[in-house]
Amino acid sequence: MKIKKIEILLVFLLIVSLATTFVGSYIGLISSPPDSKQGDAVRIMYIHVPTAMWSLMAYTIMALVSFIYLWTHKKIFHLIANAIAPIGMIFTILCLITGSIWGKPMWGTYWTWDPRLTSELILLFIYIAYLAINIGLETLRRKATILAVWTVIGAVNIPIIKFSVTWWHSIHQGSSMIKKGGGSAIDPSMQTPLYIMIIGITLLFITLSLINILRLINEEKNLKA
Amino acid sequence: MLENIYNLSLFEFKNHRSNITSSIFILIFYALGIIIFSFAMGGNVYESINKKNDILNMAQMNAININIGIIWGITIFALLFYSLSLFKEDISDGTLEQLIINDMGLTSYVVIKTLISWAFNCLPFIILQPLFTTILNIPPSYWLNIMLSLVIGSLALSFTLSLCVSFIVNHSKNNFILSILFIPLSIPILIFAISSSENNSYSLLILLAFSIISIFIYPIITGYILKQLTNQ
Repeated sequence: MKIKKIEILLVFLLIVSLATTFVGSYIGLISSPPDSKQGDAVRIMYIHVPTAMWSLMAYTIMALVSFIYLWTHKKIFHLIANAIAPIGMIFTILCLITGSIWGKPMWGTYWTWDPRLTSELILLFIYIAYLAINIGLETLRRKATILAVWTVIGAVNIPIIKFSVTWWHSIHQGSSMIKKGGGSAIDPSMQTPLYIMIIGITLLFITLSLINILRLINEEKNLKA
Repeated sequence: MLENIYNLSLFEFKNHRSNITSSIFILIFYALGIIIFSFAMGGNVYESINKKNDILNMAQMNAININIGIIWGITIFALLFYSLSLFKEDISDGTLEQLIINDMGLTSYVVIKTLISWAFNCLPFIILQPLFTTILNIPPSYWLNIMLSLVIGSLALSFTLSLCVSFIVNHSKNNFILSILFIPLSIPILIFAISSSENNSYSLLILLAFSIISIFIYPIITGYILKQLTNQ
């Protein structure tokens, strides 16, 4: 059996993304110094920040391709959104879990109904609803349209999550990576592992999405055949 | 066009009037919910509210807030209860196809359908709210705000629900899916609805904005989805 070029590329991407994540985790969890105030609890940041970033980015991409699907009715856009949804949901769950673990030593509680936390939880429910619709609807054209409409409606939540810390009084801190006046609030010794983790998680997200998109395309081809 | 809207409104009105028992069931469900919750909460909560003070203390405020939360919780259940079969019959008996053939916009159909079912199913328990708030020992100074926020909030929730119902109208596990769809869209409305019930005029304005958006935007999307379902 011939191994296609795309499969070799995917394996390569997977190895690179896992290696980058491993290096980032090693530096973040072992080599980087503890925070002056937060101590070792700050190390959760190296997983929490990239997963939070990609929980939002995944949905933004889904919303964009869903909008294009509604515009053009080309099936590939539906498949892309469909492939990204479960990955985005996993990143959102990871973000919420790591956030809760970080919240206990910092805020004294695992969970509070803060605007940022609540809106991120709503995002998880939107992902779950997307997958729930996806499981049960039979006719593809209708399902694709319904899912696309649902994704576009849910996109309203994305700016709410992003700006919740500035619009309302939030216990959750604002962005430390890029401050208002420019520069970063994070020490360079912590910036390096954080950026490596962001690159690693980004590559992992791209790889997993591509694998899932290819799987769905193959399923489509098999159905037609 | 206007004649069509009038005829459809009249038809829906008569339809709901002939099914008045289902509206009564929802009212009974609502009343039972309030009574069961007030029993489940125990006497301490009500004792703390009933203490004669000129200014409400923290414990009293908390008890009132819990009871307002109960009112909204049961309102959500009642809304879910009556919304499940909102469009199902009209799709299966071909009413929707007839409306499309007669050049009747599905947006106006959704608005009429949602408003009339809201009037028959929601309005009765909103009107009877002074009775329910008395059972829950909420002071009369809260009544007006609770009723106002219930009118505005339940309208927004009804249109949100009609949108969610349109997504799952032919779905095999529709009860389960409807609640999953409804949760993310209803949480923002609920937050401001509960806050406005607690005499917060700023939240009431935001709730009003939510309601206006729901009334003007959701029926368009719901109509679009229903058209897709009928065009199959």
